[in-house]
Amino acid sequence: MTPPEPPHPTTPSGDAARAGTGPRAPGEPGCPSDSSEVPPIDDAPRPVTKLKPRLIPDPPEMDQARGGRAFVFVLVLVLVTALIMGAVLTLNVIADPYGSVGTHLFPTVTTSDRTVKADKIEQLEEPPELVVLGSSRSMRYEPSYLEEKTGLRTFNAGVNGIGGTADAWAMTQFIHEVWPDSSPAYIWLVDVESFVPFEVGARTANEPRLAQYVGQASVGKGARELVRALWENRTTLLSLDTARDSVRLLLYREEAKSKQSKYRKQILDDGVLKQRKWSEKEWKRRFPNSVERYSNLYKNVYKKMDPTAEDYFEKTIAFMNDQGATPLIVLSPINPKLRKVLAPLGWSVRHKQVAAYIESQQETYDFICIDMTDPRVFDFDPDEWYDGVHMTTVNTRPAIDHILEEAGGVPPAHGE
Amino acid sequence: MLLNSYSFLLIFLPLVVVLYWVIPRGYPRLLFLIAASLVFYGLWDWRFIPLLLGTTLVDWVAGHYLARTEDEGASRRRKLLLAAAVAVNLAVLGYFKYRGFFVNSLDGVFRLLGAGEPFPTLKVLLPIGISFYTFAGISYAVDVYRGMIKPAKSVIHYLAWVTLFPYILAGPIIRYGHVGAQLERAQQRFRWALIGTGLFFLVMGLAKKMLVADMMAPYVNQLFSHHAHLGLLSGWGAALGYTLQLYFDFSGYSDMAVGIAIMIGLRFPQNFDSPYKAVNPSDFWRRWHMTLSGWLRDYLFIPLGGSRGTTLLTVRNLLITFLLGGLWHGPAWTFVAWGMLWGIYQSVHVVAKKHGFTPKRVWLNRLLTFVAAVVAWVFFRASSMRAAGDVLLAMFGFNGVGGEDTLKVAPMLAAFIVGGLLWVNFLPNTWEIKPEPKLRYALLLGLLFAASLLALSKPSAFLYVQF
Repeated sequence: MTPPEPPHPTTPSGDAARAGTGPRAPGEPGCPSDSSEVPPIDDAPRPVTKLKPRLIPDPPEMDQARGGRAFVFVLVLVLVTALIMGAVLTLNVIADPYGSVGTHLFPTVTTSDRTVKADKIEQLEEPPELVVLGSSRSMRYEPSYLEEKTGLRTFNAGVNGIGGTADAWAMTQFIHEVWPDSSPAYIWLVDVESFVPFEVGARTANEPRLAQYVGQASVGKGARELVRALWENRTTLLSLDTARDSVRLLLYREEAKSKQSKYRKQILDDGVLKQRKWSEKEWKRRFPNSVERYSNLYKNVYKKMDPTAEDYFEKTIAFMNDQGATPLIVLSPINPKLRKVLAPLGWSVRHKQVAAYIESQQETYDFICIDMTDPRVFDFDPDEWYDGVHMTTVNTRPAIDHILEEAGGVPPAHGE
Repeated sequence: MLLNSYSFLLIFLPLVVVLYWVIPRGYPRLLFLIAASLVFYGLWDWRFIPLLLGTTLVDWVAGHYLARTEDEGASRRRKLLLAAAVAVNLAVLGYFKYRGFFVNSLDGVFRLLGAGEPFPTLKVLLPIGISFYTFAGISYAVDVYRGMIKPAKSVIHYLAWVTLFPYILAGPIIRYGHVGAQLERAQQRFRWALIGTGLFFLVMGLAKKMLVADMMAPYVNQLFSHHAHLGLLSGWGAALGYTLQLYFDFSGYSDMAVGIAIMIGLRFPQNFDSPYKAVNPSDFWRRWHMTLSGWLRDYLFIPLGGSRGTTLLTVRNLLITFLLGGLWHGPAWTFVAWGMLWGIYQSVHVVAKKHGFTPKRVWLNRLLTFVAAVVAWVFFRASSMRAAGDVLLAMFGFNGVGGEDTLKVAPMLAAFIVGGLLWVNFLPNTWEIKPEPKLRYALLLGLLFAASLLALSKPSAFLYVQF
């Protein structure tokens, strides 16, 4: 840029010039100039203008005369690329380390809570009489405590992830598939953020038993679905990171199984997440993360309720009603400290919208709605939060008490 | 659509290249090129297509009339016409890119004076590539005015040049006299050597981006996001890491653009010539982002008087040029500081050279220039002046040696930095390698291409797309 004393425009500079490797001078091959000695790349003459000799040379090029060799060069390059890509794709499809395709030939390296919950549902000896649905915030609502209070055999089917109305739909469908004659009652902990604009999360899409209910592909459902699964997971399947995990899986299959079982142990047979002792250190570490995460969500993403999330919400309740159940829809609590931060960022507006929307659905569907976003409605302990949204069982138990008290117990499904 | 995405590399590009050579030469081929470029641009945000066409067509109209008014006595009219064309480009650029910056700065001044209500804020989206196509448009009008080029043969030729998809997002800044003139050649023939050469540049560029720049990015980002906690080592790690990341990112993009252009028979100008081998600030800018530095020299520095006047005037011209060059990169004080710093470097070099104070040893000149560039990049990368100050304080040892919680990134980043420094200092750049149609090169490039494509699972935009 603006050299005070620029050298001759086409003179190589610095080390490149000394080494004879820099930009070529006029007259050298490849350097465009007005010189007639320079054969242009194509046969056509260059346009005659008053343009001064260019400062910058043309890129170095392959010898045009060796067209046959250039063709072989391109062919080999493309073939080598395609071969390597194909090999990696095949490896990743066979090993399927994240369960993206659903080949199930090897254990996955990351077992999602959806997979574990689907397994637990299949392993139940008797169908559940009460099902808890919701996001990660619902995962510590203990079925054993609910059973003690209601007398109903309970299963916690809550799974991680914001915007989980599709998950609730998939879970209800899967439970019905496994236990077609059962008619459980439901407590569904809906978050204000359950209606955030979303795509069906990879974790749901990657569990074939649930993915089928949310329009996602899986192996075993036909070639068309397989192609769709391959296309939808192309970035995962055409990835060196995935290939690395695939190789690990092939070499250390037993270790992968062992890791899986460690994860599985965190979710108990009734679906509840194993309790962890609260610590101040953890709170100090995790609460700022909640603030950052949800602030970003309200500032950048959650500008309005998502119609797809609403669709899943409505058809889930319609399905529950069809099964004879009157679900308890509970707006889940949020830590007052986090609420204070989020309120001006849009939380208050969204909360009103969500509450009004759910209330409006009562004209069409049969359910009981309880707004528990403010934990002061039950006897909550301000210290018993892991972060801004997740409570320990010290708080989930009084929350359950409050729900049952407000609803007058769990309305039994007519089918029972 | 990103240049480093499956949809571009595996679908759009092969389709466009095949159809380009299949479609008959002349206007049908040019019309196809315009359509492909607009589709490519529109996939970013189709709403800005009218702005792109409107802004650049102003320059075409201006060029058309400038070329017809070469008679004596038309000088004043020509100047007015040129001024109007340049003003339209700068107004569009100013409105979309700098409005918020100036309004916020004025607000800040009024707040300091304790007076006035804040100006109403209006969020305006930045049209992608606006800095590049407005500069290209200005260069066209000025070159026609100066009689350096003939005006475009037709509006089709003009649009094919100004919307050309390999450059429209992030440069290089191509001039009509260079690439537009190539579009006017009718006898372009398909050759496998064009595809071979194009693939060579494309793969080299993609590998630089995906296998080097993007691998370094997480470490560099982590260090810069902890700017207040950096120490001597981590401070230098951040600065050196970004110095190399930016080079591999932007020169990678430029190589890709060159390669894509070659595949459709066009030659783009060189944009990087081993800049970290530069022996002084002037030399650096003859090697870094050469199309921008050439633009600033021809359309700003030389019209200001260049280096023809006294040393003081030269220094003035350098400072103005680099200040505006810094501001071109973005509406932020960090870019202003970065530009000013380079203006000062250049000025110091001019004065030192005049008085014979420049070091005699080449290695010392190279080292000084490199360190100066590293320090300047801190301003370029930092999110605020405060963040830049924190990193610089850390680099000069004011925060101790290690730095809190940041050295865990050290081993990988250190490996990248050492490898990167060896690369930029001792290996030839892409333009210094003659692509040969040999089997071993095809195998090696195929391997690199596959590795780069397999790293696309987490694609990130090229750094210069934001400008």
